[in-house]
Parts: sequence; structure tokens; C-alpha cells
Amino acid sequence: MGWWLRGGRGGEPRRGVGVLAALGCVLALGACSVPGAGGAAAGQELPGGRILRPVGPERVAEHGRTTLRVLADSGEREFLKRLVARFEKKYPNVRVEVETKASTDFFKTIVTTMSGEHPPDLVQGNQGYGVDGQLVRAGLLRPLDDVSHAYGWDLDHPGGTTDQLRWTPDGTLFGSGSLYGISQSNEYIGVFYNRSKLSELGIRPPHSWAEFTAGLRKAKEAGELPLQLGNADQYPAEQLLGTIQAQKVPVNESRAWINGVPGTTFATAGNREAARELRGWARKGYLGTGYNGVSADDAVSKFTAGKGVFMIAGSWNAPAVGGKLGDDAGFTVPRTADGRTVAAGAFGLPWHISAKSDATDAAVAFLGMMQSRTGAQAMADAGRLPVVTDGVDMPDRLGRQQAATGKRLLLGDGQTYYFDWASHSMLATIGSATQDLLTGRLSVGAYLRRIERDRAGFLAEQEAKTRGRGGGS
Amino acid sequence: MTDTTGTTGTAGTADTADSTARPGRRNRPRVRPPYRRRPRRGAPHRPPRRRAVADGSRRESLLGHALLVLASLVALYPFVQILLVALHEPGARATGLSIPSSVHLDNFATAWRRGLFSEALTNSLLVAAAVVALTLLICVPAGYAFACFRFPLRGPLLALLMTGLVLPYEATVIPLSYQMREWGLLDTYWALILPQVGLSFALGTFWMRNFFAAVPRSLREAAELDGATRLQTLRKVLLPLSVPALTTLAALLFLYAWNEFLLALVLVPDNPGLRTAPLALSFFTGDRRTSDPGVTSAAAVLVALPVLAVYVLLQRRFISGMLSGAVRE
Amino acid sequence: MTASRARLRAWARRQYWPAYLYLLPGAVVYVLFVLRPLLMTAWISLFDWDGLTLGTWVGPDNYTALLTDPRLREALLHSLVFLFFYALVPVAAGLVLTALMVRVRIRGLGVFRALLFVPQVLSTVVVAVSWRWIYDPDGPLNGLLRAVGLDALARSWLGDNATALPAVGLIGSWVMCGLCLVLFLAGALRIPRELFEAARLDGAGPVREFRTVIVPALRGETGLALVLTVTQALRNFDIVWNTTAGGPGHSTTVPSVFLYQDAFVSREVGDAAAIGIALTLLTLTVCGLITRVLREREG
Repeated sequence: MGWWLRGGRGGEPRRGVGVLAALGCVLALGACSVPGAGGAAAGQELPGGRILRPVGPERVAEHGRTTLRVLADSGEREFLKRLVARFEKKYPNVRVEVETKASTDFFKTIVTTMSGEHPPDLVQGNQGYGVDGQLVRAGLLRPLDDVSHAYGWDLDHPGGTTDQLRWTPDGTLFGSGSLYGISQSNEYIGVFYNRSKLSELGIRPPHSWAEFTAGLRKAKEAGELPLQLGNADQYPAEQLLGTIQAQKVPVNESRAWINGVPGTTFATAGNREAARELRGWARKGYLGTGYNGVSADDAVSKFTAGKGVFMIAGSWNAPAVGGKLGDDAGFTVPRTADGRTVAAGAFGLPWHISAKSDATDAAVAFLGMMQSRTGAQAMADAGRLPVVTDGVDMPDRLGRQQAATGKRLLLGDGQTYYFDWASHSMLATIGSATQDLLTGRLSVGAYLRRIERDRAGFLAEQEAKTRGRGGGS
Repeated sequence: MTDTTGTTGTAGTADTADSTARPGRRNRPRVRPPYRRRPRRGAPHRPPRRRAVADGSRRESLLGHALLVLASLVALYPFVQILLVALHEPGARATGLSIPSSVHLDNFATAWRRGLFSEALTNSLLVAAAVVALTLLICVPAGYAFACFRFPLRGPLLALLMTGLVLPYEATVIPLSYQMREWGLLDTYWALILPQVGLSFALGTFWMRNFFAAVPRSLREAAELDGATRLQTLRKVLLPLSVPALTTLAALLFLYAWNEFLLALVLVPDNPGLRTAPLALSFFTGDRRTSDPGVTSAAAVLVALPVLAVYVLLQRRFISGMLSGAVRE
Repeated sequence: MTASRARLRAWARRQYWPAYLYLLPGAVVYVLFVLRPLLMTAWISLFDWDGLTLGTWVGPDNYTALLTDPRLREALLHSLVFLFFYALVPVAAGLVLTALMVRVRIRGLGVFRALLFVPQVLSTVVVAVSWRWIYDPDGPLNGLLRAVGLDALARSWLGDNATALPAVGLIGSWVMCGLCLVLFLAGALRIPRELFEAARLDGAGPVREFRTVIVPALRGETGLALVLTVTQALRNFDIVWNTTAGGPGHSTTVPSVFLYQDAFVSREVGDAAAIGIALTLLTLTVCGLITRVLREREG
């Protein structure tokens, strides 16, 4: 029988070999232009005009029937359902169309979706270079400085909390520049604990870092798994490092490194100490064995099934933990030695207004309501932690604990952000490096160097890009 | 019976085909059923009379069954895990092989409602059916040409075709999305169908080529001696023989089209009405913050079942195609 | 039928150009939706491009970066290991299972067929989740080992640098087996009974029969199965990503993990395109080699 790729051997006319080449040329011609040419450039003036005061229903009503298209991560669905109902009641001429996508799908498509002809008016992004940086660089987002001023957001967050949403206009650096987004959600890494386990072991819920680490030791001595960790997805151990590091390093120092401030390095004494402590935890068996093969999801399941006394994880795990453990679930951010509340954390996914939106007023009004107490209550009702917590009823004990800690965190400007914002490959770099640190394949020194090398390379690239652009125009 | 695919015929023999000959073509030469002749080694053409050689020893038969049972257990185990987790009460956060104390269908109901599965399954069914039909339509003649004709550039063209079989389209999907936007096809059914037909064309053509090439040359030559055109040879001689090959191909193409995720995600960025089943599933699996293993598992089962059903259905066709081969002898 | 028409037909049969007519409909779709994007990808691979704003011409820089990146070299090695698990194991297992089903009369053949197809049907993301549970430190695999007294072997299969790669590879074997089986069963239908009879008259046992009858008869299907599984092995992404994300450390990274990260996370589309093109060329080469080896065997 003929082998399936046999062919073209001997005896066949060779005419028309050029046909193929010609075909290739025709195709290539169709494809050959500098990629990205013809993309829309950012307009100079503020789309929709400068916002000077909060946008009220009368002003929105002037636009007549309006459709506000919203694209969000699926985690926002319950919240949006509640908020949209209230918004449409207050702004009867607006119909809000919400589409949500699961996180992984959302991040894969958001940038291309926003570059389309008719992108949604209001979208979520993600802090860091991969999403927000791209959107700013391509001029797809409307700066929100005027909105922030009109609504007093800059007064709500006097410290550097909103710096995570500020970008230089070319999108190459963040941490300063114009404000491009805002978020109603506060997310940070804290310590979940299992109350019944604690009382069994005679450990009090920890208030300070010293109490927490003593609790870990005591749990280990009692033969319990001190800390539940599932690190197959690689990011959870980064959160562990961030949590330890927040105790040792001033917030501004952490942020400066993440923002790429020249002269900063990852190989600081504080980071070294943090990495050493994390490695010590692994060595002492605080993390159990096999954590690198367990997913973050499964770790939550295990923790709620009574495996592990503590679990360091994002505040957003509260519904999963509380739903199963009920009042047995507790949450805290242990205070530092000098009594501050500091944690690896940031705003939840930020909201942006499309530069191409023709419903800017409605979008601003929607953001305004989102940041208000009404929005905060909608968040709480959806089982999530809002930025605004005063006068908001949290649904359960765990939620109240998170709200109290979250408020302390924001008042003290204690969010250190996340290391993986430092470069667009940092998530993968620090993820695998931390696994190697935990298993002892990487020394503390080599670990710090590997992370710093990634960021240094990235910053050099960014600088070259900025320079290239400056020279070109 | 349709002329193009041959999959819809019951027996698919040349005689049946002849009986439907329309008046205008009455003079068409009659193509005889396969001649009985001893095939060359490695060039078999007739389906075996029975599906198995019956005289394997008893011990061998037992061993065979035992191995198949074992293999089936291994094949099934992960699926059973998923199914059991799905049958737990809502919010149970079960993992691994945990048997629910009582059977709950709540997770299925939640998945169905939240994933908008009724719509997603319809979309997927439409898309997969279109992809299978169009692909069969274009790859049968192409496979025939590659298997039975000599023509310039056959080798290079085959190699070019193989590129489509091996390319990692994670890389090409971004340019593809810009192309589709330029052509105004983004967010349409065409965006779901055409690129998949293109990709399936390679697999289908190789498969059909392989099958046609295995049919003894003598059969085709006999038809040609009788004055049949090439198209007639394809329709009257080769297609009736290829029912099993076509159904297998259809099952595979359906499977691939049904499970296609990345193309559907990137090429339909902003039209929730066109959400396909894998996207609906991804609504649960891709959600890293609020995921619930029970609902996710239920969604996975919902997406998998239709493919399994199609496969089983085509399998019956596949076996009957085999039996028709036996009748013909 | 007039004589001239017959002559016309005879003439047409001798021409080669009608072949192109048979190819045309498929070629149109293929060129527009597969080759054109591929060429665009090749073009983009010569740029530094974020997928959005104007790209910068860098020539072959993306390729040199790729060739000198030690992480990619390591990833490529893992891919070669996956060739064994994704391609060789399933093809061999598929051939054996097919032989079993063809040789002796199997009760409930249809049922077995359907069951053995199940691994192909499930979404790979969910397959990954299910296998993660199997490999879990407290999972059924370790439970089984402990039950038979092999406690020392129990471990976190995906979390252990030594076992993660084969553990992920076996998931691939499991998935691909179903595919191979489907292909081989279709091919096995064509094996004429006389061949088995002849072999048995020669006194062939099951092993020789397998070697002399089944394997040669399924050569075409084996070739296609190898191409499909090799392709999967080299561009496999979902399973790795959803079990280990390339870890622990770098122990299960594969080139497509970098491709994915470049294309969808850090959005260095030029780099992603270069990896994509390189991967295509590599796969074509491997498949070409397989083709050649099988062809020589045949000859």
C-alpha cells in the first residue's frame, strides 16, 4: 500500500513548480505590513469631556436612551447583578449590558477586545504590565484624574494606595503619572485559621507575628500540619513570601522595587531574611510535604476538611472557607513588631473606561456608584470585601473580621502590592524560583539573584523602548 | 442515499448505488462489486467476514478479556472521579475518589443554569456538525486526488498539508484574529467554523488518502476499463467501501470541533450569544477565585456526554458498515 | 454513449490537471485560514510586537534569543521525554489493544470501544484536575501503594522534581491511547481473515501474528497516529499548565508554556511567533523522520 506521505517521486511532470512560489508570494503580500500598523492612536483631549463634579441622573438623562456595556471577570458577577439593579433604578435611561468571562479567559482576550472598533464602555483590567500597561500604552483607556478629583477618591486614599493604577502615558512605568482606573474591591493576603483546631491545641487566635509563628511551632509540636499550602500553581508560595516580607521590609521599599524605581534591588537584607524564614518553614515541616503537587483550590478544600491549622491565602477565599467551616473559620493579618498592619495586597481588579466609549457620563456614574456605600454594600451582599467598609453590613463573622483588618490596612497604607507586578515575566520567574527555594535546590542568595535578574532585564528593555520612541518622534 | 459521503447509505454497495441511478445516466457502465481475489500482503481491501477470528484458544480469550477490562478501568477511573464529585451535595468541595453519601443533582442544575448550557450546547452542535460536514466534503476529493492521481507538486503539497497538522495554533491564532477582524468575520459563526475546517482539512485528507491508497489498484483499474470517469470511480467504487473510514473520521472531527477552545475564545471575543460548550465549561474551570469542584465537574460531564453519545452512535454505524461488508461476500 | 465521449473520457483520465480540481475546494479554505495566518506568524516573528501598538523590526533577533535561552533548551528536553509518553506508549498500547480486539471474539466489543474512547472525550483541563487528585499526596495512588505496603514509594507525584515529568507524561499516554485505538480499529477492519488463517497455518503464535499481520497492515494508521501524537507531545500545553504550570522549579516546562506566556501573559507576540514557527519546523522534522523510517521498513 502507498505510504501516506509518498508522492512526488520520479516520472511526474515538474512544470509549475513556480505555482507554489507564486502562491506564496501572493499570500505573503497580503500579510506583509508592519504588525500593529493602522491601529488607533490615542486622542489628545479627554474622551467625553472633563468631569468636574459627580455625574448625576439629570446629566446622564441628557443623553437619552443609553446602553452601557460592561465587561468583567466572572468573579464580579454576583456583585454586578446587585449593583446594576440599583444603578438602572437611579439612572432609568441607561440599560447596563454585563458580560463576564472566567479569569483565565478574560485576561487572554481583554487586550484584543479593547482594541476592537466598538469595545465595551467599562472594563476591568489587571495591575501590572501584562494588561493595564498594554492598554495604557495603546491609548485605549481614558485617564481618570478628573473623575478621581470630582468624586474625592484622592481624598479617600491619601497614601500611595492608588499608585498601583497610575501610569506614565507611554505605559512603560507604573506607580506615578495619571490615574487610569479605580477599584471597589480590597484584596490582600492574610492568615485563615481553624478555631476548633486552635482551641484543641490551646493556641489563641494570633494578633501579632510573634504569636502567629509561635502558633506554627506549637501546632508542629502537637503533630498537626501547621500551614496548609497548595503550590502547584506556583503563585501561592509567592504570597507566603510576600506575607513574611511585609513583616520585615518597609512598605515603600517593597513598592519601589515593584515599580522599578532605579537603584532598588531585590537582594536586600530584609528580603534575604524573609526568604530565609520561608525556607526555614519548609525545612521544619511547617508546610507538610508534597505541597508543590497540590493546587491552590485543593488546598482550600483540604483546609476546610480539617487539614492544617493555618492557611495563608487571599482574602477572596473567604466564601469557600466560611461556606464549609462556618464560625470555625477565622481570619487575621498579624501585626508587625511595631504594631502596624501590613500585607501583600492590592485593590481587586481595577475598572477602566474605554477611550472609545460614547457613554462616558454613564460609565463615570456607574464607577461613582460602585465606589459609594451603595456599591460597597452590594459587594458585601455578594460575599466580597469592599474598599469602603464604614456603615457596611458584612454577612458573617469572617467577613466582619476581614473588613476590620482591611480597613486597618488601607488606613495605614499597608498594601505592599505583589512581586509579580515587577516585570511581565515575574509571575513565572518568582513562581518557579520559590518552588526551588522551598525544595532547597536554590540557595537564598541565588534565589534573590534570579528574581533580580528577571526584573533588571525587563527594565532595560522598557528603557530601550522608551528611548526608541523618544528618538523616533 | 447521498452521493457525496456514502455514510448515509445502509449497505453502501455498488449494487445499491446502481439501483438509484437516474434516467439521464442510465448508460453509465456498471461497476461490479469487488472482485474476489487474494490480496497482496499488506494491501488488504475486504473487511473480514466476522469481526474476529473465532478460534483463539480459551485461555487467550480470557486473557484478552482481562486485559480489556483492566484497560477500561484505567480509562474510566478519572472520569468516574469527576462524575462522583459532581454528584455530591452543593458546596461539598470533594476531591479525589469520594463517594457521595447520597446522590445530588444540584451541581448539574447549577452548572446548567450558570453556564447557559442549553444555548452553548446548541451552538457547539451547530458548529461541530457544520465543521464535520464541510470537512468531509472537501477532504474526500482531496484525499482521492492524493491517493490515486499523479500530478506535479504532489509531494510538496502533501508536506504543506502536513504543516497544518502539526502547527501550534496558539501562535497563529493572534494573526488569525486580526485577519478575521479585517474581513468582518469576528464574532460570527464563520469565525467558529472556517478556521476549524481549514485545520481539520489536513487530518481528513491524510486519513482519506491513507484509506483510498489501501484499496487495491485493480479495483480502480477495473472500473476504468469499464469506462468510468474518475468521479464515478470515487462515487461508485471507493466511497461505498469507505463507510467505516468516514465514520471514524467523522467521529474524530466532531470530537475536535466540539472540544475546540482557544479558537472559539479568541475569534468570538465579544458575542456571548455564540458561546460554545468548552467556553461554558471554562466559565467554571478558568475561574481561579470562586471555583467549586462539584459544579466544575458537573459542567465537565455535561460537555463530555454529547461527544460520547455521538461516538457511540457512529460506532453502531461503524459496525453496521462492517457487517455490510460481510453480506457482500 | 458516443465514441467521441468515450475518447474524451479516456483523454481526461490521462490528464493530471483534474487532480487540482479535486484539491481546489479544500485548498481555498486551507490557504485562507491556515497558511495565511501561518505566514503572518512567520512575518511577525521578525518583529518586537506587543500585539497592539506598532511593532519594531528586529530581524532574526527573536530566533537567536530563543536558541540561546537555557530555559528553552531545558523545556525542549522535556518535550523529548514527552515524545515517549505521548507518542510511543499510546501507539504501542493501541496496537496491542487492537490486536486483542481483532484476534479473539470479544464479548461486548462495542462497550469496550466506547469505554476506551472516554479519555479522548473529556476536556483536558478537567482531565488535568482529575489526575491531580489521583497524584495528590493523600490521593488514591498513594493510598493504593500504602495498602500494599509500599509506603516508601508514596509521594507527591506532581510536586516531586524527580517524578513530576513522568507523572505528567503518563496523563498524556492515557489521553492519547484512546485516539490511537480509534484509528487502529478503523484500520483493522481492512485486515482480511485469510491473513490470520495463513499465519496460523504457519503455526504463528499471538506474538508473531501481531508482528507479521497486524503491525504491517496498520502501518498507514500508525504513521498518522504518530504524527498526531508527536504533534501533541511537542505542543502539549493544557495538561502541563493545569497540573504543574511547569513546576516544580522548571522540571516540567515545555516550549508551549513559554509560547503561551509570551502570547497571552506578557504579550510579546513576536517572541511567541518565533517559538511557534520553530516548533512547527521541529515537529515537521520529527514527523518527516518518522515517515522516512516507516517507509524504509516498508520497502
